[in-house]
Amino acid sequence: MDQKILEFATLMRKAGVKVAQTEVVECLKALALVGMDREDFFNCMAATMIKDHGDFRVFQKLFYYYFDPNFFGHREDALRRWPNLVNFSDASGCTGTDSLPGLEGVNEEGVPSAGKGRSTGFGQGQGLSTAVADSFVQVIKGGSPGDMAEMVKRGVESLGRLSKDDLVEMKEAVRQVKVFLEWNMGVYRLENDSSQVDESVWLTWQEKLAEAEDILYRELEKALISELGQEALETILIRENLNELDFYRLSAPQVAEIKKRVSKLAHKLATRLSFRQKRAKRGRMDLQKTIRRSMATGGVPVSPAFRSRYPTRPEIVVLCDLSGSVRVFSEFMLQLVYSIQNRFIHVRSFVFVDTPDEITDYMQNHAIDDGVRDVYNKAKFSKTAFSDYGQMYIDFCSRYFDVLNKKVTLLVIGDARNNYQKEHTDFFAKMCREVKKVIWLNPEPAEKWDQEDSVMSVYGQCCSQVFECRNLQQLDSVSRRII
Amino acid sequence: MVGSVGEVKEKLTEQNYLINDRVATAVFLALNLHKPLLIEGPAGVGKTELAKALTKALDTELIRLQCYEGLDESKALFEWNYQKQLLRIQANHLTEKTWEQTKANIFSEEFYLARPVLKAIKAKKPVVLLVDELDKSDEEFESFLLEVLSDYQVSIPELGTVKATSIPVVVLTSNNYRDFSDALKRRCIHLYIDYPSFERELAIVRLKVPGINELLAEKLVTFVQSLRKMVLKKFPSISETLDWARTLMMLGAESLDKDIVLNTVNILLKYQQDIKKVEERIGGLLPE
Repeated sequence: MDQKILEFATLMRKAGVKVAQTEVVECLKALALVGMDREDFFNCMAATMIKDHGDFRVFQKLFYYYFDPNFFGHREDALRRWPNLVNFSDASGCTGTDSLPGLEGVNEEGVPSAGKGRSTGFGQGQGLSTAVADSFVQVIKGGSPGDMAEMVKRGVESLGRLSKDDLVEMKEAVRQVKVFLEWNMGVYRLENDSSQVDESVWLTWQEKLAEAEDILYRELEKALISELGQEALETILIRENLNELDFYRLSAPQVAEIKKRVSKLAHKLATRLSFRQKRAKRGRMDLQKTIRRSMATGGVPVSPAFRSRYPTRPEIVVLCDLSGSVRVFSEFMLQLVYSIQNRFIHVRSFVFVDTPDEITDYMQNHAIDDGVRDVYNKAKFSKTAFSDYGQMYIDFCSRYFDVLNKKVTLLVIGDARNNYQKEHTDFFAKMCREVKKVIWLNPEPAEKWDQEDSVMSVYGQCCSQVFECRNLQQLDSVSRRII
Repeated sequence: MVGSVGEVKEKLTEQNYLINDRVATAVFLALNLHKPLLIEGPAGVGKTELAKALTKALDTELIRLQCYEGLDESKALFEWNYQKQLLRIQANHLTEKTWEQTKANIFSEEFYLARPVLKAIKAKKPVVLLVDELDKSDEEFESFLLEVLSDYQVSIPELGTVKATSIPVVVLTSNNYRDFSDALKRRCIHLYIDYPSFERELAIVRLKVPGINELLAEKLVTFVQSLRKMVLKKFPSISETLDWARTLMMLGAESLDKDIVLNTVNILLKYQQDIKKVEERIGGLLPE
């Protein structure tokens, strides 16, 4: 048992949760006091090992997988050693060691999902209301939690045997399940129905949708773990490490969690400066004042005077790429910038895909979510839906050039993927000359820069600084440096 | 002190404080492992109330230390009673005592004022020390607390180390205004209290607002629960639900209708934007 808990702690650390040695000891002591009932066991571990509520979700997840009777074949072992820990209610009667029985069944019967021949999602859903979407809507509207789990399980089983590719590209697997369940069609129809029902019912539906999404990830990961073993578990855990996870890999619940952390980061940044200024009374000598003071002591400078520091408040212009993979990151950055607005004299923000549009009015003095929604509904930032940096610079220069001046820090957020369009570097260079400083944040890993249609180094030459900013940790360190 | 998780639950229920298993386990562990209990959660879910209920359940005294920015040792731990020391020195001048004797005397126990932390440590029987809203204090204060929290002792330069005569039950609460250092978190049993489920909230309302109409209680809890599913700046907490329930009782409401909700919704919601949002959708939010 002790060893299992140590192993559990190691796995938690892999997921980015800090678990100290003493906390493990504490946990063991606590278990000795409380006993081994599954519920108590869970509570005990939560109270002693998890010290941050943000980590609770990961803990719950790992607990669910790790102390699961189906977890790669240690079931018998587990049964022998701690019988009351293992759930007996598991009706499926799993005896296999490396796969869920359901998965095998599906394959043998030759349901159209075996092996590589999976449905791709294209050409499906021609009819506006199919039986599958119907049942999805039914389950969300009035099904019990059991129904929902049942439905999602069916979806995951439709994938057939899971392979390593599914682990690497989990988003793709999720998409396939969603296609099978006609998820998006269901959501669309629920949204349509929402105008006819009470607000409170609609809220319940939304909650259930989020829950279904959660179950989907959980079931899929569980299936992957029982298929691929320890390795899969570790990969999944590393993906839970929000601090080091690439922004474009985030799942919906993770985005929500990151949003919370970004607002904390914003708060930290805002207070950090004031704290420093409070203490930093020493600094450069104010010679004029010192000499004036020395008159009183007959020209001997007894007490030197220091120049007090004025906090610099830069004007900032944010230019966000809202296309595809950069979108998530752009939203975080907008959230960050606007939560610490009072640190700047002015924030003006623009979004673009192939043409820029000002969104300052939508963001200022609005709740961040409302602001972002308005941006998507009202702003005109895309003509062709393909990013075109060159065209954007030309449009920016002609429409908004007066925004730039020597006090402005220009913050560009984008992956510099130009779809092989003309670069128009001269226009960008013109913009750069006009401002105090240009900082480019690229959410792509640095090794992918300048590959394919990325022209990062071309634009990078004009910038004062270029940062790779692909996860929360980097966002943290970058924002500390620039703000 | 307490033998089992069940007993904790029972005793707190006697004090009109309803808890679930998770909370009970955390409290039980804190009591038995002699560790401080760090409670986090949104405002108004009953963090401070838990400490108070615990005090009553253990039949002991509550010593409360409210934290704020700029709180320092002299307010939390102890302070020399300067006035008294001065009086003593002046009185000694009239006698034949030497300076050496005076000096030896004025730094003794008679001349200091014990502040909450020292009081808790020097208490004859174990007390509950509630450090409220620790997140509001400075980081320096947090590191000062470390010694107290792990060894239940404090070092005072003039007196040496003061060890606890009885180990107090320490409860720290936080609204997550800022993060604590790992060193502090490591020493604590952690507990996060969230908004309660429908059943638990209903039970709390029934318990705390005796005599409330059964139908009204159910409806108002349903309403509050659906408010929490909306996107609001601040969600109504349990204490606000209770305030609202009491208000509705006082107004003699039998059931919920649009007018009465609109007139009293400012008890639940504290932001104008939130109130406006709810007003717009009031028709759909009211339970049947």
